[in-house]
Amino acid sequence: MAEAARCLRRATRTTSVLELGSLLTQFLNGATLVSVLILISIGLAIIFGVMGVINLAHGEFFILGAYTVIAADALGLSAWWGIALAPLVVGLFGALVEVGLIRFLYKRPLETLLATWGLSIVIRQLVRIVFGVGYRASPHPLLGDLKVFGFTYPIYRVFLMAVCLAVIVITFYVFYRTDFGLKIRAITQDVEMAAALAINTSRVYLGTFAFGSALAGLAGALMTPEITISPEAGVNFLARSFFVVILGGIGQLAGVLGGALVVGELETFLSYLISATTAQAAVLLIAIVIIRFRPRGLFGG
Amino acid sequence: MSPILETKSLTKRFGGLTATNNLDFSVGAGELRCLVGPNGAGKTTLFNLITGKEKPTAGEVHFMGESISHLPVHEITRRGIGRKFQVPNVYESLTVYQNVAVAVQHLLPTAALFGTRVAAEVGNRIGAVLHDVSLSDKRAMAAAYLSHGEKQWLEIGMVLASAPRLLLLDEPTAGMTSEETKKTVRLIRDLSARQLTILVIGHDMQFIRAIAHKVTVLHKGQIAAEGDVGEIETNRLVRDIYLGKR
Repeated sequence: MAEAARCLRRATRTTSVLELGSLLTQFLNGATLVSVLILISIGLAIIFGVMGVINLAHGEFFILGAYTVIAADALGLSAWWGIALAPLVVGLFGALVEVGLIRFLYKRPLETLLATWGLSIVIRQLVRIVFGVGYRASPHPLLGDLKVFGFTYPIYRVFLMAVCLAVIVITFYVFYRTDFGLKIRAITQDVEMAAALAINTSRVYLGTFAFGSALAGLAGALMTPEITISPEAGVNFLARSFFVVILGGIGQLAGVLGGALVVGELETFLSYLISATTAQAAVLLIAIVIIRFRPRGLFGG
Repeated sequence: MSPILETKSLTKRFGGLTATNNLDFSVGAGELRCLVGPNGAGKTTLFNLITGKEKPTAGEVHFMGESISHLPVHEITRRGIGRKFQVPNVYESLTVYQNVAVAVQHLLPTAALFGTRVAAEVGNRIGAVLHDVSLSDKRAMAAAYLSHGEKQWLEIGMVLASAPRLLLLDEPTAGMTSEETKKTVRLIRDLSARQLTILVIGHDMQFIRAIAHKVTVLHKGQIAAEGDVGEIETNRLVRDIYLGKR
């Protein structure tokens, strides 16, 4: 992720010399990171909230999304196809993981932690075997800048933010306005009663895990032009997503938005002033201090 | 009356403890039956075995002529067994209406799952249930703000909304004021008059006298006595069990 931050900084230097424009660019760079973090963290938060599973392989689901784009490219399909296929491929993979592994470990949080950690190693090694160990570049689906009143910004990032925003809106709508969302919220609060009310809990678990995985996959695919892709690229995103979820307050979707906003914007602005690696460390340090004073997170009740 | 529910040599062991011991128990269709017994007699375990929450060590549960022991909990609910837990199990952050709406989910076609409003017919059903449990005026209130008695009624309402043929009530009046208990007795008799089969775990003799005709006494996972309320009350064996002489 250090590369991505460097890339963001390079973008900053070339786009504008005006102080205001530069600030706006920084803000938008931050917003790009925020949207992607939300996409990854919402999956993590939903899976934990509904199933009580902490998925340590979530970062690997993210890179599987990125490698789906690379695989699509190798098959002669455009990057757009890769982006469209990634949530389906990774969502299906998530469903298989749920049926083959997670299902046997309900109500055993420590074992799931170990199992998903093991799974993350297996995925990383498989990716190394299939795609090689080195960094990979992927085709850029949408080059060019958006120009508004003399201010320019890469159009792909605008697209990326729009997609993330749409997915976030849809997720909230499903959760808080539909009958399916009502079921999910019922299971989150009391799974035993939900089963007694004829809700097929294992099917809802399966759907939840697949959906969370699909979101991570989509995030990975969307980020391919922005980061250098390697089998290890997921770890960095997993760590930040954890901070986003904890900072926002566990068990609340809205908390994820706030947590991502703090982590993403802080990191982008700090990496403008100091080195990207130091900025990341500083953000995590700040997050730790905040959690010290608000153990239930910024939005936790 | 042909039995709607039957257990055949039903046994459940937890380690060295036998909670249900080779039990042959049956309830006729349309019956209102009371289940009593001292603590640890196996009443709640029997409910857990009927609803699939626990799987039997040996033996089977038959409902409407079919073995249901191997089915998962939600499937058994779909067959028509509704259960009210002992402590109120309502969704505190959801409204009264939404709580009942959760219970009707399985009656909806799959295609309607992503709809924002439950179908009109289902909406009527929710309205009728809320009327039955006297919570119509509180439908928009979060369940957390209900009194203890109202939470118990809401949970009964949720179970009713799932359209059961057999209703299992585990100490429905526990923690209720005498006024609330009276209201609950009226509700149970009302439901029984509608041909619903009801099995109630009771602990308070006054409550049992008010609702049931037939009483089954469980002791150490077996039937110790069965008969009319009057018979059971004067039964020497039963008195000894409750006094801990056996």
